[in-house]
Amino acid sequence: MATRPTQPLSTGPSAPRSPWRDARERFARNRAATVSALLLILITLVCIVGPWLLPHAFDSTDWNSMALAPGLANSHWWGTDESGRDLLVRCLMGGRISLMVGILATLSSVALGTVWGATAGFLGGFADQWMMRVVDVLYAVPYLLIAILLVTVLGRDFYLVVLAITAFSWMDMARLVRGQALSLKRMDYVEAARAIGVSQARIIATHIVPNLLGLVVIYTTVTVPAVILTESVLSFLGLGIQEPMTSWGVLIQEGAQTMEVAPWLLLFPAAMLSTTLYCFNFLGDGLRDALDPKDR
Amino acid sequence: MVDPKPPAMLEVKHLGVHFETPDGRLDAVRDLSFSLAKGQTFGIVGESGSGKSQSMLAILGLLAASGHATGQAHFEGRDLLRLAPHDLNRIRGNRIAMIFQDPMTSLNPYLTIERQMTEVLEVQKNATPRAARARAQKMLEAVQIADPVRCLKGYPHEFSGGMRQRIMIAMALLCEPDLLIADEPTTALDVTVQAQIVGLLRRLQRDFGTGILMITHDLGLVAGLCDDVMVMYGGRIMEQARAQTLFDGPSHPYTLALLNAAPRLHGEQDALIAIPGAPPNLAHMPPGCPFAPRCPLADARCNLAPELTGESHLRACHRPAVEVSIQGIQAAQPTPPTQPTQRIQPQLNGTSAGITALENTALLRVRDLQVGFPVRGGDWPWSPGVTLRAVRGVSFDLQAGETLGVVGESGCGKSTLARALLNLVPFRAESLRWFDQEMAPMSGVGANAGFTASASPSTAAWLQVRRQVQMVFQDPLASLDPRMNILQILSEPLRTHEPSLTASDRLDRVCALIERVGLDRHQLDRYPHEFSGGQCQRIGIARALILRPRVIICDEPVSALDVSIQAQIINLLRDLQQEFGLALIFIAHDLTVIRHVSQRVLVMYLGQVVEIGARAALFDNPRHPYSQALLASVPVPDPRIERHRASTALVGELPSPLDPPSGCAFRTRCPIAQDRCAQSNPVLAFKGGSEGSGQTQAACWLA
Amino acid sequence: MLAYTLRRLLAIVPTLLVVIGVVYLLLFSAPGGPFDGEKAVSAAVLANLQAKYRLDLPVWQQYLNYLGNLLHGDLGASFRYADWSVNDLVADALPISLTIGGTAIALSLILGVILGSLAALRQNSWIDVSVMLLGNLGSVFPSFVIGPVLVLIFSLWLRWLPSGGWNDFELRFMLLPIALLTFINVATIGRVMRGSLVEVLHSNFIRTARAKGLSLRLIVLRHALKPALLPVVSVVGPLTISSITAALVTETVFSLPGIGRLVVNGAANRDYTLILGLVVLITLVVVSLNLIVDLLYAVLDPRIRY
Repeated sequence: MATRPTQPLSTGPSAPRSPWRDARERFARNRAATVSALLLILITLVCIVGPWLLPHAFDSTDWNSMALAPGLANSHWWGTDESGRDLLVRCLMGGRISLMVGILATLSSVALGTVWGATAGFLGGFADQWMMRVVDVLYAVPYLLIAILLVTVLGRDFYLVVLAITAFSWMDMARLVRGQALSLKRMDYVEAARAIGVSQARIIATHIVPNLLGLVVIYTTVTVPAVILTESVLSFLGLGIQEPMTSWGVLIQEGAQTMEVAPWLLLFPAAMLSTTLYCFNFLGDGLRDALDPKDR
Repeated sequence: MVDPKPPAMLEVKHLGVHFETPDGRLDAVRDLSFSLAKGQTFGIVGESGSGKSQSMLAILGLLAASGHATGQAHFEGRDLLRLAPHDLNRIRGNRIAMIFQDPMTSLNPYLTIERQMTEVLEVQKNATPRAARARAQKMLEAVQIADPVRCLKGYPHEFSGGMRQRIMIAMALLCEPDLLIADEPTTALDVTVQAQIVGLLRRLQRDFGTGILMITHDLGLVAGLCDDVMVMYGGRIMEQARAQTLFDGPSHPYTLALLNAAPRLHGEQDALIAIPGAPPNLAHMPPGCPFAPRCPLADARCNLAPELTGESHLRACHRPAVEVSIQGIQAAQPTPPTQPTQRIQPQLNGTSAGITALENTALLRVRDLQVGFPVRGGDWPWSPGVTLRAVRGVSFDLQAGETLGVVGESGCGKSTLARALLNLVPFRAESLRWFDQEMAPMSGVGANAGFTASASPSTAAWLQVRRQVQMVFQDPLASLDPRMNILQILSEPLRTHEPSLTASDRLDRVCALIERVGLDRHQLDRYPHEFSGGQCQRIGIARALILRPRVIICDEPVSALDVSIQAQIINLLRDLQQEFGLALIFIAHDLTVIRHVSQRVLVMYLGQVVEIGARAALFDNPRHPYSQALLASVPVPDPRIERHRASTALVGELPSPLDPPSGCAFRTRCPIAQDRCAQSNPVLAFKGGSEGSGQTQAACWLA
Repeated sequence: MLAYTLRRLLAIVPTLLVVIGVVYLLLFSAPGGPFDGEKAVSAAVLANLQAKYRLDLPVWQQYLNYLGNLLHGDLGASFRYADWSVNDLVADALPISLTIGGTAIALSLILGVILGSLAALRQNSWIDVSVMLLGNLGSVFPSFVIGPVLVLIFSLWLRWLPSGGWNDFELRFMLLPIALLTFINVATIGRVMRGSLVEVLHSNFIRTARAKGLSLRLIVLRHALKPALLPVVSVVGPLTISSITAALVTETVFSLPGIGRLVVNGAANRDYTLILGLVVLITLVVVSLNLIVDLLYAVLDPRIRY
């Protein structure tokens, strides 16, 4: 009768090379991507934990050290602004807000976009046409205007800002997911599953979704910096995060106004924002190469 | 009296091509040497990885950026590999021209045909635009393009594959080159179109005296066209000789194996002599003879690369020529494992109708099956839609245990037919009975009922059918989900149809089957991309078999595989059919493969059956003009037969399925068409109206 | 071709109507909207609004009224300024934005195509590396970081150019804004051009062209350029949209009295009607641009003729 494999299914270098394992290895080989990932984790940790460890509160004004240049001598390592508030703490607090907005808005747009796109792509036909028409219409308006519009009407509460940003960020994901769902539907192995008699639901669960995940992961890492950027622009224009909270965009705007006398007020938050965005870019590129190599 | 060798026009010495890849150095061609005289026709034969294309690309300086060529290639005294780009450009397109495999992508889609043709003359011969246009027009006439003036004004995407290839040939011959290199020019084309192109090349060679260097994997093609033949494998020459000498008496194990692995149009249909293993991985070549890992005659000497020896008949093998014969190979083969002799009864899981003696009734009965796809009719959103009728009324039966071959060229609807049989595409039919159960959708409101998803029967009924009817697909790798390992892929049918099985039961069933198809049970945890094309197809076959179905529909299962692997899979299918008592519907475009596997054959053209009958009857005595043309177009690997064949190639192009000709769809290309053929569509009938034995049914008024 | 154009035009109208409708509803019926009596509005403004928007009518009729005004090119009355209608405000601001934006896009297209092509033809050379680096920089550093930095360098440290302001199309006020917008766009266009030209150069029909003995110059200019430009054309649409975003930032950083500034101020002042009018205007511009891009695509690619 039938015999089972006598040794356990193998592991190690000759272990089966699942696409996920391949991707992990490829990612690990990408120096820039791994460094970026580590750096991002570092920045996030510092932003969360830092303000608790530092002596100054982000909004406490120190009338004795206004507009102080950065230096290690005194307790204000990154200097202060013209009201005497410590820049380092403010940058870290701003980081908290910017990152939080980024992550929240990204999660909601990814969720909405993925569900929308996958449904449209998989149902096809009329449903697909109408669902994507909605997306096309939304595309017609420059996204920042939508955000400004919503912020104007709804106000500048933190969660409303997140909502406003979500309102237009989901469309890219929807389009991508729909495209991928459409092409997956036509794949030979999906047709093979139908020929076997697998039910629609099981096809979606076992064949479509796992093959979509890669795309979703990649574009999530691409969406986060875009969202952070949008929040920063809004704040820079004075239409985003409000006092007393602060974000990198707000700090940059403040810094831009006092550039002449205190350039560090612009440069430090700008450097933090740019580094974060840069790291996300490399991370996204690395993930894209790892999960979707062209030589496959 | 030895006739003096004509002076060499192209002399290649020790040519080597390698690529620098991130994974290391890859040697595509090693130590290639040959010479070509003026006006000679030369064929280079090999499978994937043989290096045949790369060697010619290297000679013309067309390698990719990561490729490097070593050695020499003398053309009229100058070494092409060392010429400055400017000088090389004087030779390319002018003295040596090249045409490529895929006419779809080899022409620039953004420029008119005229622009692409006249620029050659303007650049190479300083011709004026008017003179260039006139010459281009004449050349298009020479390659039998119907309306050269309109052709010049058009863009490549407006033409069919055959026409595009003819345009490419015309473009290549504009400057009357001394040598035309043709890299698999007909691989992407239908066999009838291939016959047209080959006839064309032969004629042009006669008229212009151009030398032709033909690169192909098809031995039949080479037999018809080339004076000399060279066989390559793994980047090295295996054998080279005059064509007749090579085909009469190949003296290299690879050539011999290749000739016997390809199915034939005539002769016996024993099991093909398959070459075990897979084409070489150029990144990890063994030292010595590249064919050694798969050679039945290999021994310890083969670790050292054999020298190319001989005078006019060159070979690279340590074994003396006398030992290289069919008997020698068979003697060297290990005794095959004894096949189980008992026939395993197919599972007779009941359909709701209950099973009676199904042995004598047809498993499948199809009457007037039709498949149509709606497409947009015109430019406006409100233009009425048009239906693309892919299958236009097909009827046939399938008996238990038999193999029905379905053959036809591109656009004939055979793949669509396969999908309709399993309700993978919506269809209409007067009757479609699987195991005596009616599965055709209820006809809606008369003849104009739209092609929507079948209202009835139910999904559950189809599930029952699918348990007994499985499918094997054309592209082995694409039909397997890349994120599932083999165990999961093979378990999927079991989970769907026998949900009561435990994981351990499933594992047992899978293990039992996996070795039967030639794989190892220790590979069950691996993923599809870790396997070769042939192995993936074995997995596909195992997946189709795991439910012990009664019928397997094979949609071009070997078209994407090399000839040597093809033979393995064909043999496997035949064995499995015997052992499991399967009925097969085998779809292919290659007549030799169909002949090898089928008991009955069905020929399709533009969505209809034009002839159906027993294999012997069809192949020995085809009645329909299309079947006759198909059979006449298949190249035979025997120069004697090929050279003396009258050219009976079909004229014209395949009509568009959106607008088929009235009456008989074949009449626009039929050599014996008459007025009657335009008036009404012929039906399948025996000659004289009786069920005479040894006859086929043909749909022709005149057959 | 004609049919294609008309079909696309027909598709625009519903889009516009929906956008205008949604924005209108959003502004005029959301909580905290302008007409719920909470915002104090000066008498003169109220009089204007009454006249223009017929506030006594039910909402849907107000909407139709508004559409009717739109068709006449009348964008309505400002919510804040009694003396100027939206049209007035736009008429002053539009030329400025168009000049700066238009020049920047044209410059970035030309520069981007040239730099991208050079990078593709000399892969991995110093040109290629610097173009890729530029591309990365431009897409990572946001406009509102590069802008102030530019001001810092050129205006505060080098004192070559003014730090902002406007004086009737004087060149020295236009240089930095145009430079900023160009820099951002050149990065993207250069990267796209490089990528697409590299890919085109690997295609089969280029191999055929080489086999015909054509010179590299001829191959690039006649065979490769048109297909390589197609992705650039398709990126121009989204690029223009993001330029509008960038314009908001640019005009704020450099204190330019353009459309972008109007939007920002309008939002800050809660001038609902101004914002509505601006959104409508900008949407119209964007949609027309997308149409032009699609038509351009169809002209360039002979395979698109449906």
